[in-house]
Amino acid sequence: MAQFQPRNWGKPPNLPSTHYLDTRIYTDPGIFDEEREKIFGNCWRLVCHTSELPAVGDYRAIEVAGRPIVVLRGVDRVVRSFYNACSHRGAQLVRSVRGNVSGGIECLYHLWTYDLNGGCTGITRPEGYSRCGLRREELGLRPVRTQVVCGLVFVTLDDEAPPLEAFLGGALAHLEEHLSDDLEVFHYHSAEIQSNWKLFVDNDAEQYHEFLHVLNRTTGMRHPSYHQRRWLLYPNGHSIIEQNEIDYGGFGLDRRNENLITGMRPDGMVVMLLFPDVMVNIRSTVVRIDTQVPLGPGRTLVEWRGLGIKGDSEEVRAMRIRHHNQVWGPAGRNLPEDVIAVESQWKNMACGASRYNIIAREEDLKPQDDANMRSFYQEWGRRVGRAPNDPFAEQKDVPRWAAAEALHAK
Amino acid sequence: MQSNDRESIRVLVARSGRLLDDACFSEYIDLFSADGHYLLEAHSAEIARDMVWLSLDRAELADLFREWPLHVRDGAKRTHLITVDEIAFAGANANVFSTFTVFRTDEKGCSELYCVGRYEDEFETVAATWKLRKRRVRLETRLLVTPTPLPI
Repeated sequence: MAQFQPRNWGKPPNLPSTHYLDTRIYTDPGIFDEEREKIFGNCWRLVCHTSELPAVGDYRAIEVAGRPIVVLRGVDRVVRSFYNACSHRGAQLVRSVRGNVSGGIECLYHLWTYDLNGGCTGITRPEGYSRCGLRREELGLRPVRTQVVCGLVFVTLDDEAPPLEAFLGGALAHLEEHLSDDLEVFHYHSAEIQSNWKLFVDNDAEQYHEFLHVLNRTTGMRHPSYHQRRWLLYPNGHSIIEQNEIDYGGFGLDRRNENLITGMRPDGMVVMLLFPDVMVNIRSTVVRIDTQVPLGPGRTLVEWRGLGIKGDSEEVRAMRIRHHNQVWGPAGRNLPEDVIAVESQWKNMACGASRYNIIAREEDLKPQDDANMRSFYQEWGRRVGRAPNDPFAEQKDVPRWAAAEALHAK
Repeated sequence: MQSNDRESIRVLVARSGRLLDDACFSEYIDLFSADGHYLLEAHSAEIARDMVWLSLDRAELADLFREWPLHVRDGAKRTHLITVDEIAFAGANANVFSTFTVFRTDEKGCSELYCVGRYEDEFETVAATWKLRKRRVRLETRLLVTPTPLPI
C-alpha cells in the first residue's frame, strides 16, 4: 500500500524562477490595481476595428483602465479618441456603446458642444464667464493618443509611451502579412467571466491547452504540421506561432480552401498574441480577435470579434460565419470549454488551493513550449515591478528574473 | 379544428424547451421536419448588426447532439419557460411567436436567469402532424454566464 508522501505544498516548485508562477498574481487585489495603472493604463490597447466606425461622426464608447473613452471618426476621416467627459462638469458626453455624432457632440447637462476634433465649439450663455476670463479655445476634450494599424484601432493613456510601431516591433510585420485585406467585423459578443484576465490570456497563448478541446485533439493536433512550427518571440511580450494546417475532416467539418484571408494557406491557422491582452487567431477564411477589460481580480469582460472581408458576397459571408461559429462564438464548440477551464482555475487560486502554476515546458520553441508564456510574464514583471514567481519579494529580484528569461528566449 | 391545432402547437412549443432541458435530443430533432432548420440570432449594439450564432439543418443538429458528450460542458441544468404569444394559420402552415426565458440551476441548487428572447417558428403539417420547418431564435441576452453550443 503506497504511503502518503508529505510535501511542503506551500513551497515553490524546484524549477528555475522563470518556469513557475505564484498564483497570487492572479488573485491579489493590490496587484490588480497596479496592473490597471502600469499595464492597462500605459500600454497600447486594441479597442476596436475601423470597420466599426465607417462614417464621419461614428463613435464607439469603450473603457481603458477604468476610464471612459470615446473613439470617433472625424470629418477628415481620421480616427481620434477623447475622454468621454465634458470639460465643464464632467458629465458623460456619449452614453451608448456606439452611435453617430456627425453634427458634433453636445453635453446633455448644460449643452456645451464640441466638434469631432475635440474642440469646444459652444458654451451656453458664455457671458457668465466673461469676468473670470475663461477661454473656450482652452476647453477642448482631453485627447487620448490613438493610432491605427491594419484596421486595428489602438489607444494609450500614456502621453509618453513610445509610438505604436515601436511597441509592436517585429509583431507588426505579421499583422501586416495577415490583416492586409479590407476587413470588417461581422461578429461581436462579450462575456463577463469569473476569472482573472491573465488566465484567459494564458489560455489563448498556451497551445498545450488544446488538449482541452475534443475538436482540436481530432483536427489540428493530429496533422503532421502541428509540431513542425515554432513560436516567434518579440520584445514587449508579443508572440506569434507559425502557421499550421488543420485536418477539419477529423471532426466531420468541411475544408477551408477557398476565399482565404491574405497570407493564409488552405486549412491554415495562425495565432498572434499582442501584449497585454490581444489574440488575433486566423483559421484560413475568418479572423477572430479577443480583447479584455479587467473588472476585478476575478472578473473579466472578454470581448470577441469575428471578421471577414468587406464586400463579401452573401454566400461567401455565410460561409465565413459558418466557419467562425463551428469553433468560436458563444455557441461554438470551444469557447464554453475555455470559460469553464479558466473559471475553475481562478476558484482554486482564490481560495489558496492552487498556490503555484507551472509554465516549464521546453520544446525548442515548438508549439507546446511555454516560452511564449514566459516571455509574457517577463514583460508583465518588468512593467509591474514584481517577479511573477515571487511577487511580494524585494523588487531587486525582478531584473534577475527577466535576465534569466531573456537567455532562455535565445 | 383550428382550436385543436392551436393546442397541438402550443404543446409542441412548450415541449421543445422541455426536451432540451432534459437532454432528450433525438426527440427534439423529431420536432423538426426533414428539411427543418434551426437559427440562433442576436443583435449587437456595438457593431449595429444582426449576428448568426448558430445555423443548423437537421443533420447538423444531430451531429451536435452526438458529439455533445465528448465536450467539457457546464454541469448546470437549464429550465425553459415559454409563453406562446401568437399563432397565425395559413393553410397547412402556421407562424408562431413565443417569448422565452431560460434559467440556469447549478449543482448546489442556485438558480439564475440565463437568457431571454423570442422564438419565431414556422410550422408545417407532415402526415397530419405539426412539424417545425424553421425555428428562428432571437436572443436578447448576449452576455451569457456560461456559453453553450447547445440550442436554446
